[in-house]
This record gives sequence, C-alpha cells and structure tokens, in this order.
Amino acid sequence: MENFEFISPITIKGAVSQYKKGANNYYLAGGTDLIVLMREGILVPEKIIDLKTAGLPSGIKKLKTEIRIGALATLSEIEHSSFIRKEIPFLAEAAGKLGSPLTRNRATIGGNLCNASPAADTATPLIAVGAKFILSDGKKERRVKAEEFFKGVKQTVLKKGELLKEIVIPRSAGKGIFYKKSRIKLVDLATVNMTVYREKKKYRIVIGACHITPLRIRAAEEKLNKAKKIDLALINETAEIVVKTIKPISDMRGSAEYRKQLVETHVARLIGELAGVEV
Amino acid sequence: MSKDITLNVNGIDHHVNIQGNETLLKVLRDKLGLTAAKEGCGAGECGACAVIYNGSPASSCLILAVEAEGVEILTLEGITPKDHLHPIQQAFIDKGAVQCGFCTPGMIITTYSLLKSNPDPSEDEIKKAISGNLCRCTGYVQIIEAIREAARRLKRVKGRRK
Amino acid sequence: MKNFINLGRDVNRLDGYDKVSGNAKYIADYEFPGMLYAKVLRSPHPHAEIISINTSAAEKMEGVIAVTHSGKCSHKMGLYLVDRPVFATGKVRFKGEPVAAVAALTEDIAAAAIKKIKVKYKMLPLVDNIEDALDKNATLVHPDLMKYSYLPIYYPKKGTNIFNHFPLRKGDIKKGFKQSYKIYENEFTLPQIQHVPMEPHGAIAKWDRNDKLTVYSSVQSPFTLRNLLRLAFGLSHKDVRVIAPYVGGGFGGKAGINMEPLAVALAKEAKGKWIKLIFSREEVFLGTTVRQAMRARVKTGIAKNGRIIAEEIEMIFDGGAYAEYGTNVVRAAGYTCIGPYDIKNVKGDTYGVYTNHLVGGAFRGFGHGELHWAVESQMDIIANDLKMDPAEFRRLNVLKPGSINSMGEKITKHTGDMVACIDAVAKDLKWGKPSKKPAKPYIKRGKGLAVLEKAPAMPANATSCARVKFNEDATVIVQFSGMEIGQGCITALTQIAAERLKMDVSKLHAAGLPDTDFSPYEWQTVASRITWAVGNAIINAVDDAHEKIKKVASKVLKVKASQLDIDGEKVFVIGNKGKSIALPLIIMGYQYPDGHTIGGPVEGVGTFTPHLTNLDAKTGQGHAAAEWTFGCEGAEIEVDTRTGELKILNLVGAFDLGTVINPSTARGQIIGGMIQGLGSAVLEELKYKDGKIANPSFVDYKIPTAADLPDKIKHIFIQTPDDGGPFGARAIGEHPMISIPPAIANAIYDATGVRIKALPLTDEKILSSLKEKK
Ligand SMILES: Cc1cc2nc3c(=O)[nH]c(=O)nc-3n(C[C@H](O)[C@H](O)[C@H](O)COP(=O)(O)OP(=O)(O)OC[C@H]3O[C@@H](n4cnc5c(N)ncnc54)[C@H](O)[C@@H]3O)c2cc1C
Ligand code: FES
Ligand code: FES
Repeated sequence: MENFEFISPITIKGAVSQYKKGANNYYLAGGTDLIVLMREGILVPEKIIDLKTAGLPSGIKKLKTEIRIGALATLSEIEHSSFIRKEIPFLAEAAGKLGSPLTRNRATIGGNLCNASPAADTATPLIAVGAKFILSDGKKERRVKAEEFFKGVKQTVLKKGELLKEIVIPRSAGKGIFYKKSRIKLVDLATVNMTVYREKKKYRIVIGACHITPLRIRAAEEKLNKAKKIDLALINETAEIVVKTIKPISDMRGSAEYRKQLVETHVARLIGELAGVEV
Repeated sequence: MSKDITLNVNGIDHHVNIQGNETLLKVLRDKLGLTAAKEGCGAGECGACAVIYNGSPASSCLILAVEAEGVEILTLEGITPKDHLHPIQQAFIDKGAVQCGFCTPGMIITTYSLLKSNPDPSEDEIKKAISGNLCRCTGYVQIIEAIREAARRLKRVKGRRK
Repeated sequence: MKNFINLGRDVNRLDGYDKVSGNAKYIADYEFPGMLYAKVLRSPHPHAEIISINTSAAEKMEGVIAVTHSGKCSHKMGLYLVDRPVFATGKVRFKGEPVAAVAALTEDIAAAAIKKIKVKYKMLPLVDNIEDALDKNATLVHPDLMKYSYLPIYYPKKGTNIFNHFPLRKGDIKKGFKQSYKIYENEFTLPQIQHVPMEPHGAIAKWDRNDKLTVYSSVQSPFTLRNLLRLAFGLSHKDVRVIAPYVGGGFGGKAGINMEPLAVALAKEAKGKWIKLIFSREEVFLGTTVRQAMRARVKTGIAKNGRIIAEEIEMIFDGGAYAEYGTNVVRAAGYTCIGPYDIKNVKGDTYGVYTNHLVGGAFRGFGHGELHWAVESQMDIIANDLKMDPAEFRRLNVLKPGSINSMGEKITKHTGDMVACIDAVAKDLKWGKPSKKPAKPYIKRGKGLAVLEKAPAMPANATSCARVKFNEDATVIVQFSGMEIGQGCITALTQIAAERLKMDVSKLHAAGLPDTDFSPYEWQTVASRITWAVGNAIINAVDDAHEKIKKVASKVLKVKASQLDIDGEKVFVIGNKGKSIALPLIIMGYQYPDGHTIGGPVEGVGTFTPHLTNLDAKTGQGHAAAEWTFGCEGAEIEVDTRTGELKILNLVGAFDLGTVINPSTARGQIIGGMIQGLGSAVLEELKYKDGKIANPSFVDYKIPTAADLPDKIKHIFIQTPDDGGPFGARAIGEHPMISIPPAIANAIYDATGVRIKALPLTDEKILSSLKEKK
C-alpha cells in the first residue's frame, strides 16, 4: 500500500471541501472495500478522508412513518437491530449474509451502496422496499430513489465530493424475501442475489449480480400486479420475463447461463412463497 | 504521512509513530511486538488477524492504524490471564481444537466475543460466528466442540461467582 | 488390544499452550536487528523469452541494499529432477515466476523498487493444457530436459514435454481383456488445486562473509532443505544451518525446497544481513506449488462373476512449468494406479507433462486423490451397470490377505482390513436402505462410497534419527526432526517415547522444533510417515538408552545386563525388584560411596530405515510401499434438481490406522482431511485465462468455512496392528482427503442418475449435467 495523507474532518462540509481539493481523494467508511483496493494497488489515493469523524449519522432510527439508517451504520448493527429484524427482516437477512461477522462489524451500509457493486447485498432489499437516499454535498441535500442511485459497475449518481448521508425507508406492512446464492454458504460474494417484495398485492422484483447495476424488473412486476389470481403458470411466466430482462455476465462466480437458471428458479420460489403458491 | 499516535491496546496506552498506510495489524505486530494476531491474507478474508476493536471482533488487516487512535483494542495477549489460561484457551487444548495453530488466535478472539454476547450459542450460531475465521487443518468440528465446552465452563465460573 | 499406559488416550497436545496463548512463533513473527525486507518481481506472462532485465533504477533507490536476478544467481534446484531455476533464466515459464528480487530497509521501499525494474519480454507459444503438451508439434517448455540431473528412478522422454513416464505391467493385459465378459472405458479429469495453509510461506536468511548460511523457514523438511540449498548454492552441509519454527500448515506445500532460495540469493548479495521474505497470500497462490491437474483414461475388464480381471489405466498429470518434486507424484500414482484392488492383469502408464501452468508438487495424497478419483468413479459405473451393489462389488474385488497388489507385493493380515473399512462405512450410511424422503419432489437424495489406499511415497533411503536424553531428575528430553505442521507429531512421538520408557508422558519434554546443527537427521515430514518412521526411531533410541543404563547397572549390581530391566523409575534385577538402582542415581553416572563414578550422562540414539527397493523400470514391479493404510469414505447427499444445489447430509470415513496413538489428534487428522477433501470435491479449482491464473486469492478461490460442514460427519477407527509400525501404528495424515470426491460423485449419481467425470462437483456443474441428461 502506498502512503497517503489521512484526514479526519469534523463536519460533512469539511469532508467535502477536503475531498474536492484533489482528483485522487477518497472517503473512508469501514474500509472493507477501500483498503483492499489500496492494498492491491488498484487505488492509490492522495488523501483519505475519514467519514467516521465527520458527523455523518450512524445509528438506526425508528420514526413514525419511516426508518432512517445512517450511512455509517454497520452491517452488524443492521443485522442485529431488533426493529429492522421485525419490520424489514429481508434487509437484516441481506446484511447478515454480507461477508463475515468480522467484515460486518466494520463494513457500513453507506460503503456497500457507494461502492456500487452489481452484487452489493444491501441494494436489492433497499430498492424493493422503496428506500430513498439522502445525499449531501456539504451545503445542499437531495433525495434520490434507491433504484435510481446506481448507474453502472462502481458508478452512482453521486457528484464529485457528494456523499451518502442517510437512508430513508418508508414504514409499511409489506413483506419481502431476500435470497442470495454464493459458492460457499457464507462469506462469499453473490453469484446472484434478489429481493421480491409484496405490499398491498403489488410486487417488486429486484435482481442483483445480473446486470451492470441491481435491476428492478418492472415488466415482471406488472405481470403479477395485473393478474387476478396468481398461480403456478403465471409465476413461471413472470420468472421467464425476469430471465429475459437480465443480462448477466460469466465470471469466477458462475456462467451467465447458470445465473439465468438460478434466477428463474429462485425468483419463482420467492414469488410463490409470498403468494402462497406451491412452486 | 507519518504521525505520532496513542494506541490503547490491552488496557495500556502505547505512543507510537506510524505511517498513514500502516494497518493496525502491522503496527501491533511490528511496533508493539504483539504477534499473536497473524496475517493470513491481508485482505479481510481469513480472520487470522482478528482483534477486539471497540468491543467487537474485526480484521485488523483492514483497519488503518491512524483510525485506531482512541479506540480500545484487545488482542489474544490481552485475553490471556497472567498466570494461567483463559477457559476458552484451555477448552481449545482439551478438545483438540488446535492443530497448526495459525488460525487459533483469531478463532479464540472471535469465540471470546461470541460468548460475551451470547453465552449459550447453538451449533449454528457458532458456525456463523466463526465463518470468517478460516482453518485449513481441523475441519472445524473440534473447534466447535471447544467453543461449546468453553461456554459450559464460563457459565460454571459465572455461576460460582454469583 | 494391549494395555498401554500412554497410547490410545487423549494426551493434550504438548504444543497446545504455545498455540492458544500466542506464544508460538511462526516465521513471520521473527525479527532480528538490522534485518532487511525482500520483495519479488514476478513474470506477468505465462511463457516468454526474457530479452533484458534492467535493475539500475531500482538499485539507485535510497534504502535498497541488494537486487538480484538470473544474471547474478543462475542456480537450479529440485528434489528429484533439478529443473527449476531460482529466478527465471532465459525465459519465464509461468505467470508469477520470480524474475528478480530486492532487499531493502523496509518492505515499502522493496515494493517500490520492484516496480522500477524493467524487463523486456518476447512472447512464446503457450502450452496451456495436457493436449497442447502432448501435441506432435508441441512447443517444448524445457528443450534442455535431458541435460537436467535427476534420480535414475524417473524416465523423462527426449524431445517431448514428458518429464516422467512410469509404466506398470502385471500379468497379461491382452489375455485379460480377451477373457472379459464386459469392458468399460471412461475418462476422468481434475484441475489444479492449492494447499492453502493458513500461514503464508516465509524464509529468513543470512549469508555470512565466511560463507556460512543460516536459514529460518516455514518448512516441512529442514534437512532436505539444507541438502537442496547446499546443492544449489555449492556449499558444504556443515556450512548450512536450517532452523524451523512452528509451521502454520503444510499439506505438502512446504515440502522439499520452495521459496527459500529467493531469500538466500538476496542474502548472498547482502552478506551478513538477515533477509526476511514473507509471501503474501497471492504469492502463495502464484509462487508455491499446487496439486497437479490430471486426465485419466481407465479401461476395465470384468468376468461374469463380477471380478475385475484386467485394467488398463493411463494417467497424465499436468505438472506445470517445473517438475522437480512433482515427478515423484507421477511415480507414486503410477505404482498405485489401480487402487486397492486385486487385479491379475494390469497395464498402467502414468505420465507427467510440462505446461505453462503453476508448478505442481507434493500435496496431501500425493497422486492418490487423483488416481482414486478416476478408479473409484469407474468402479461405481461398473457396479451400477452390472446391477451389483457398489459396496458388494468392492468387497468382492478389493485387496485381502493373500492378494497381490499392483506392484506385486503380497498383502497379509497385518497389511490392514479393507473389508472392515467398507463394512463400517456401509453400516453408518445405512447402506442398502433408501434415504429418508426429502421434503420436495425435486430434491433427490443418494448415498455413495469409495475406498482408498496409500503408502508413504518416499525413496528407499528416506531415513530417520531420534534421541532421548535423560535429565538429572530422570525426566527425559526427546529429540527428533519430524516437523510439527499441525498433525500433532510432537505429542504422538512423545507418547511413543513415554510408552517405551514405561514413564508417564508428563515426565517427558519434546524438543520438537528442529535446528539442523543440533537436531537428529530426518529426511522430510511428508508422506504421512512421521509417527510411523520416527516412532520406530524413537523406540530404538529408548532401547539404546536402556542398554547404556543396564551396562552400568550390571557393574554396580554385579549381574549380567540381560538380567536387568527398567521401569520408569529404576533399573532392577528381573525377579528381584528389591535389587535395584533408582534412575536419578545412574543416568548421570553412578557414584560409589567413595566418590568414584562410572558411566556418564545417558543419551540414546535410534535410527530407522524402511526396507524398500526400487521398482523395475519396465514393469513397475518391486517393493515401494513400507506400509499401507486402507480406508473407505462415504457420503449421503441431496441435490435440488432445479438449481443443482448440493447438500452434504453425512460424511463418514473409516480407516485402518493400526494402533491409535492419540485418538483426539487422529480424529483431528481425519476430520480435517475429510473437510479438505470436501473442498477439493465441490469447490476448489485454480482457473486459467490465457494461461494466467485467474483466481489467486480467497475472493475467488474458496475453501470450506465452518458454515459449509456437512450436517453429520464421523470418523471410524479400524485398528489392525501394523507389524512394522511403532506399537502397531500406521499412517493416517493424508488418507482422509483422498476418496471424498468419488464418494460424493457416486452419491450424486445415486441421487440423480447423473455421472460427473470432472472435478469439482460444483452446483453449477451438477445443474448443467442434469440439463444435459434431459
Ligand atoms: C471479506 C470480505 C467479504 C465481503 N463480502 C461482501 C458481500 O458478501 N457482499 C457485499 O455486498 N460486499 C461484500 N464485501 C465488500 C464490502 O465489505 C462491502 O461493500 C461494505 O459494505 C463496504 O463498506 P465499507 O464501509 O467498508 O466501505 P469503504 O471501503 O469504507 O468504502 C467503499 C467505497 O464507498 C465510498 N464511501 C463509503 N461511504 C461513503 C459515503 N457515505 N458516501 C460516499 N461515498 C462513500 C468510499 O470512498 C469507497 O470508495 C466484502 C468485503 C470483504 C473484505
Ligand atoms: S489477515 Fe486479516 S483477514 Fe486475513
Ligand atoms: S489449526 Fe491450522 S489453520 Fe486452524
């Protein structure tokens, strides 16, 4: 790892202005992505700006109509939070399947999202549940929908210096299921991951690791939402639409074909489970 | 960048000069002589470098030493009592949970923290807790048995204190 | 079974305290004043000519003390075939091959200096697999093969990429097939895999100005390392000292000579300075050895009664860029090629070929995981086709007392009980009864088993030495150079010594971390041979010490030495225990009341040499197996036929390991080996893209975690005492890894009717095989 300057700003504003001072500066949250890349020499930052001192929100808050998760909340906090487990269990499940406990004790949800891996485990549940992200450039804040946040592999809508401050999740009575398939049971990146969510008979289907970003499959959702009755045939047709929409690649974790087959079977199973149909 | 910092390790403040790019693992091993934590991968994947950081176990190879200023850090050296072994350590010996020993410090750190938060873990909870600590020698079975045994012994110790 | 005082019980590991307390020092934990730190520049190409190496910018950097490469260090190394240069010389033969190395005041400086070395390459045609290697017009990875030195038990082929061909001929193969009622022919393959010891390799070296070399290394073979270093660097044994700290796992990957010469080459350039070289995890993947890939074709002829009467087997190992140690893997697989079966007519041809892949070498199982993958899959294919029960088919055909094995060795009742192993596994799996019905119709369950055998693969002159030293208070220090690599040899060997001394093991201390200047000689800690071979040497050492005590006592007690016996506390006259001398009064010399003293400090020395012969060059017949361990492994699994997901419900292994010295450490070897076997069965594979290794890290080379354990796992000891082993013990270190892959593949077939012939058995492969079948 090359040497760099380490900065501990005490405000968001300070963090952003430090960031903007150079072209090769990086924010540090839990470091579980960043330090790995620096060690491999893929990133050679001039300045590392520690967000942990910058006054970003860190905890998990339950408000009347929404849940707020600070960007610095660790995956462990989310995994073990009793009301996340109760209200958004599929997010807790996703958080608990990311890396190992040693990783999760450090890794933040902000880092997982801003890193913008197509396989990021917290992305599909947040998109499915209709989360919004509060972004800040130190002066102004803006809100974007989770599903609009990701732009490509390692690319987001964040402007230079802008950071992810908080995640807002509407409280609702919807039900969702997260599924992750990896080569070993735990501590592995997803070959595919996905969340299917149902609220007031409306479905949301989000697939990860099968496109340049996590992907919401609206055509498939519509198929379900329009149907009078959900039966096995409809579920299978829906799964087919999902498979036709995704564009997975072949890599170390699996071939494109295998990913399609996994998605087809598992998306059908998740829908079936939510709809009470034996698949 | 180089900087003088104070690291609180095993209850002792250490004043050290560090480089920005030095990991906590490197500073513990090279500058403080605390070599129980090992480098098995340097990339957060193996758990050999685990220490208790701010109350929970973490891979010290993915923590920068500069970040660690003001944080309480506990290593295997700090867990080991002065004149005997910790019940977890003894259980690891008694149950044959040690082979080459390279994963052992990290395993014991993770166990220590698990049993603090969950004194009576199920087998599945144990497996999940140590899933980030790779061991190539034992096949984990005797490690899991040792953790259960340690839990039993710690409960007994606690019971006696009451 | 005999009544032992120290054997067959769970003596706690003697290295336990060191390891749970963090007290145990491994190579990376050593620091010496003034130490320099080394980094290695590796080839980015799998096969290329080196046009030039320019190190001047690196040499000019502040803090850089030494830079070296093939221009300064052109030594070659190798245990059996001396084909491997310390630094790529003339050309690079695999991606990751060391090209140059730097020693500097800090690791950071060394790392920066490495980047300043400029190397120009010219690409050469890639030899990317076994087919490329054997092509008529193949590019030769080693055009100078025939100029290399090698032991005369290997057979390289001039003008080819074949670095060893081991032929085995027994009976009349033509006749065998002619008489066969059915003939089966199949091909099986497996990829390269890594040992993945949790401790990365490392070495620390100092070359003094008087040309004395000291090396600390994470090594399985301190004496063999010393020998190979002195050969490579042209020194005398007396001037090379190897010191071996605790080793954080080996599995064959730290056997022979490895990365130590890189540190030594730098030490030679920076005389008088300690050079520390610790590999990163990526370098362990790139720069150490791996298990060779293999392709096997098996043709088997069966008589009407289900007996195998002919087998022709061709195994081709992808030995990678260098064959130095791996050439003996080819030989070992070659002489065991048919597995533990009694077959009259055999034709075996086992080849090792060079490619531009990672260097193949010793790996737990040493060719036997590979050959059993082929043979034990084949046996199931045959049994199923014959509609015979696969366990019964094996019972009928395996080696039994009176059988003659592949090499022509006769099996006796002391060799071990193969059938008992099969029976034990069958019983645990409830063999013959269908699995419990799974919850969903698309989930299928099945059972499978596979047998195995292995003998230590070693040359006939692989010898051992041990010492026992009495202390003043009649406690004992045991010295040997078997390496404690996790297997528990320090504990087991001390138990053996204590047993022979008739003392409780608590009276002994094992000086188990060798230093070649002080420790007794040991060939290598490989081949599962340490408890067995060094155990024998220790018994001889105890006997030697006892003889010495008796000699003095016979003078004092005025009886013949043969009339004396020794227990843990005294030497006494047989039949008259009252007439005795307490050990503390005699082991430092016996002092008479007038003060004069006879005898002296008692130290016993014992050696052990296995009784082996070389094998016939044309037929492979002879005696290469010092002892055999037989075993059987079984699996019950379920497959989700819609996703290919494999779940292991039960894994069981039964091994005839003779007398169990320490049940806890033996169990540790078995369970650990079975889980490593599980990794090789369902997960592990080094993948190549354009000849370059594509997954040299834990991100994409996955090994099992605790969460991947089967629902149930069980070990079973079968204990037929070995007539040549210490107190009847035999080897168990490697065996548990060997037949897990075929046992699982056979279970998958039982569940789904799909036969997978290429490892690993990933979910993805199971799914695509299921789709193909439809
Ligand atoms: C062993 C291991 C296993 C892993 N397994 C998984 C897995 O299973 N699934 C998975 O999805 N990921 C996995 N990861 C990747 C990683 O741990 C996660 O992506 C993690 O959530 C990153 O969070 P962090 O806080 O550590 O990010 P950091 O490394 O601190 O940051 C990641 C990136 O995001 C930027 N960033 C961080 N926070 C903010 C913010 N608030 N605003 C703007 N930019 C920000 C940083 O500048 C950096 O570029 C694994 C990593 C390791 C080491
Ligand atoms: S060394 Fe830190 S996790 Fe492997
Ligand atoms: S005991 Fe060797 S890695 Fe766990």
